[in-house]
Amino acid sequence: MASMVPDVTCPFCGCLCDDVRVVLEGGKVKEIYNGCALSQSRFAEVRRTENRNLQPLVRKGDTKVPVSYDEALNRAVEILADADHALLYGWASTSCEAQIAGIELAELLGASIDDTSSVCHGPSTIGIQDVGYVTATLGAVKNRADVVMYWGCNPFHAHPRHISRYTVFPRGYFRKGREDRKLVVVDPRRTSSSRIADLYVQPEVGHDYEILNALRAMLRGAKVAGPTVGGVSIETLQQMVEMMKRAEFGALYFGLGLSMSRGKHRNVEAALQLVRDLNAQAKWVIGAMRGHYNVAGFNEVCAWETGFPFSVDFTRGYPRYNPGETSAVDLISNGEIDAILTIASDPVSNLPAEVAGKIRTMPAIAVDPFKTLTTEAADVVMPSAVTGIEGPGTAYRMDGVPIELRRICEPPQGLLRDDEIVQGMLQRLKGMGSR
Amino acid sequence: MKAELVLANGTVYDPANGIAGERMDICIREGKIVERVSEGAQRLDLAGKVVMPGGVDVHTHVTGSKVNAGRIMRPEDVRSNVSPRTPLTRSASGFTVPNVYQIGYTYARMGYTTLVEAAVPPLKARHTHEELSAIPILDKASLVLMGNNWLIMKYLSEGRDDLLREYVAWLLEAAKGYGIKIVNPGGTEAWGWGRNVEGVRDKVPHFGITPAEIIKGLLQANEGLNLPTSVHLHANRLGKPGNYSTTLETMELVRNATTRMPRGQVLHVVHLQFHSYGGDGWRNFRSEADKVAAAVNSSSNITVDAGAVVFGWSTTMTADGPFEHDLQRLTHLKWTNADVEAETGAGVVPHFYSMKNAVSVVQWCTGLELLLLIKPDRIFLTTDHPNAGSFSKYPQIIHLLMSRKYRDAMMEKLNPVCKKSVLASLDREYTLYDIVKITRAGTAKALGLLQKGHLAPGADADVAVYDLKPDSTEGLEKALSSAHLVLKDGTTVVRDGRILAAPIGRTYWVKCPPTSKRDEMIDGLREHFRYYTIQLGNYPASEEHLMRSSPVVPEVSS
Amino acid sequence: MDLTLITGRTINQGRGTMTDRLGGFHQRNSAVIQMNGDDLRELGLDTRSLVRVTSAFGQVVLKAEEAEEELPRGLAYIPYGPWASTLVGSDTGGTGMPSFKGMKVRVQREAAADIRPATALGGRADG
Repeated sequence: MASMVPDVTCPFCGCLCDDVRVVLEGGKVKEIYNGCALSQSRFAEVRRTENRNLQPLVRKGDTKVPVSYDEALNRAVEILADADHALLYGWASTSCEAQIAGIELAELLGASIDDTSSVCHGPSTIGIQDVGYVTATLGAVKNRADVVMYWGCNPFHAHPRHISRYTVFPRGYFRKGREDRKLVVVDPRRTSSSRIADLYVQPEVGHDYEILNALRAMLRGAKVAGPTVGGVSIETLQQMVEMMKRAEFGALYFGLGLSMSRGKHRNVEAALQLVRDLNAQAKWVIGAMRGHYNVAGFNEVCAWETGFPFSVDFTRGYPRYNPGETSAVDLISNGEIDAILTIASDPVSNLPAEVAGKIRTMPAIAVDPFKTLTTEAADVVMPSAVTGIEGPGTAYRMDGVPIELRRICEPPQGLLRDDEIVQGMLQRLKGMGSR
Repeated sequence: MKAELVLANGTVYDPANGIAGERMDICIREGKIVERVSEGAQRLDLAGKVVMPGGVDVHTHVTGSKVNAGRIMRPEDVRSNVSPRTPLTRSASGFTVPNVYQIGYTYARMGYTTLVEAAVPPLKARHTHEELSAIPILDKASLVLMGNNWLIMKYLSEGRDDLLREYVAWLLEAAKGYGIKIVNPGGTEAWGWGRNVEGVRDKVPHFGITPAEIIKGLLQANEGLNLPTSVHLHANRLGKPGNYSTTLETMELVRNATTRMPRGQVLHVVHLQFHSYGGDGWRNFRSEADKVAAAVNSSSNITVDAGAVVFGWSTTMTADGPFEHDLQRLTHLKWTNADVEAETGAGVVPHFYSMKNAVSVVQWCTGLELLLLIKPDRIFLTTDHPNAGSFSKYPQIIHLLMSRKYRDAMMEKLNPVCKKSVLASLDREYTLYDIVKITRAGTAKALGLLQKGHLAPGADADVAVYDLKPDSTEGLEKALSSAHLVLKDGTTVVRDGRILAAPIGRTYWVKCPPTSKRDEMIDGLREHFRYYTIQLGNYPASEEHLMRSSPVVPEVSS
Repeated sequence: MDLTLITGRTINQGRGTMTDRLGGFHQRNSAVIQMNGDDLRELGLDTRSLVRVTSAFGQVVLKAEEAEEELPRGLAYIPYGPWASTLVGSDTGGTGMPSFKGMKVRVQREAAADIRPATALGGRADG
């Protein structure tokens, strides 16, 4: 018996599309409509139990043996309570409910907590802390924008429906669609996103800072020495400035090309300042292309719970924030961490290999629905239901709009949700008495 | 188990019931004030202490998208005021953009037990509720932004009052809100194109509707729905020299409007200080508080709150997007903006009110003038937290209101422009009775929270007890910042300024019964959702996000 | 040959993180280095040859491909994953962010070794 569930929110990328239609058969996901290729994979993978963790595991000697959640949670809390300085890392691909519990856990432990922002748009947040963030929800762009620019990101690969559902192709209240909007793509690579652009600009890698500041200077009427800046001709820069000044409503979306390249937060600052400067003459907004479906949510939750958006150190019983010192990569590579809890992320694959190596040398607890290098390396593995498909929760889209995730099918037998697992650790720790 | 308590021998102030400093007992059973309790009830002797209802803050920006954007943008504010966790309390941080725990504990220590979140963008309402649910102790309600909403403007221009009313009812439930908030009507929509509106008769670009029509239309819907509170309005032209004339024009719009609700007012004008300026530029910037005060006093159906300035750092944050852009162009400080599709917008800019700066000092004078000139039944104490200052500074403002001497001492330290102010000539000193009106009795009444702000049987046992000397302001600020005892629903939450318990407060919201127009309105809404980027089914915030959800069901008019 | 390296997402790398993180699909899509066609030819490689890529922080054997999303000469692209991570250093310059984009790498034809599976990577001491 097949049934169709409408208005399902896809839990993969920062677009957090909530118009996915899921066909269930026998209580399992059969197929989906409206979702992009990444979404298709996301919904399909929950069926494939060979890649999933199906029971909690605890390392005993050289092997990991299946145990009950109870035993795994006890062992996890033992590890965390024994540590001098634990790190609770990941968080970007799970619900706000799990994140809220995680922050309380970190505070109670006197540990540090960080999410994947610190290796993604953390520098963007640092830029925002100097300049501010002139932004809008995606629908404001859909309804009004006549110029849309993508800088240092490749939406066709990382946010496949961004252009089609939200910014350029859709009909908005004031715009017909593709025909009355201009698309500009700035990328050192001739990406598939760039192929549909009205204007493609190809800077050299690592020179965005100069280019953005040249645009700011030109906006103020200054003459910038040429013939090129960062590999882009003065004529092209002038063309960009004119297009930006004449926009009725412009939107600039930027990605890791800015936050990860040389200059990092300074590159983002320059982009933020350009948009701020533009507002003296034309209506412009800027938006960070947040990668994971709830990475923006972690920053929101962490900010209301602690005051700070990520990289929070609770070792003194109160929150401290200093990315570069309190951020995951620095903490681990400086040898400051002696135990790690990872949830909803795979740092052993994705962090620099030296950091992955250090994670292997410390007691590690991994909470993940799927088998990853991190779960293979961990001493305690706790499987979880896939949030947004097998368990509900709240998540925040890249533009700060909070959307509900729902349970549309049952997880494999006996699996707990991320928030239940984190609460399980929290309650056991509270039961151990205050430290 | 029946929890009974007698607060005995305190000096009670309960203006809603005409009690002005009488020594009497207050009896409590199961979280409510009652006539009497049994012989065996616990007795707390409060001889020499002042007893009043718990504070009710009518307008504060403490939760949600723009507040959080303020926290994220201002780590320097967050780290300026940090305290570690204790076995009973979570770690607290921030001064003008405090974290949720700082908010709850600070308000509770000050003897406040209810707060109203001033502005919620409906698309992001669940964010507001996630934060409100995390604030310990206090009961909450929130006001939903409607003054730049596309569907509302559409219904107004089509003359469909019936569908407008139905949509307002639906929107309040979808956002789990308690009342209607209007901010710079039409102006934030104009800001969607980088523009603004210049007055109540200025047409909103494209929609062709005027701010006057928006205000009157929503007022009519508010009264038609018998909502517990009136429309709350942040008028056009906030912060601009000479804007007092717009404020007077705005208040004139509602001269003949009436309500049958016990609150009495049809309009609550927020942070009036920011809307009471004369002059036509920064050089001749001055206060016109006396003219504005006269207009409020001569009206019969308007209440206001002060938005009084506190010197030092603040964080301005408002749904008045274009105002924040203008402020940023003036001060060049960091600026966050967040337009919300089809509905509203927001802006956040830090601001420093300087004792040496003539404009800051005029603003400070303006707020106090309004508080001293407007009848205490009509004006309430706020700092439009955190726009004019942190709510934690309410005790300082109370001190200024109660002591001419303290005002004079302060004015000695300020830019001499204050010497020529109306404030300098005002002798009035607030009595404690009037302070209680402007911080709890009056606010609760204006909000239609009939079980708050007073101590008669039937009221919630939200009680604040202070170590105050009724006839002296000595030690006033410390006493008001750090209450001797605070009860929330009869449970002790604060003693001698320390948090003893952090129970979860209620969230009040309005649940209007649908009418025969509901289906037609929903059909139109489905059409309208083409302009959103979220599905209609996913838009409403679910009740699960609310802690102790407490819906209020208004009576239906025939 | 010395090149500038960018690491980043691709749609198949993304799908690989969901379908098969420890297995073949992920490896086929992430254990690759995309290069400019002329650079490949100068190294005497055809598309899908093996190369050894070395940065200041590590080295890894990958399949070389001509980038469909054209790269200018001197630029190379490796999708995120444990192969890319061997080349990324942990110094964040006080920002919290390591250098995932813009590092200098040396690319040489690899005759002997094969691509290591993901399970052999991720900072393994024996790796």
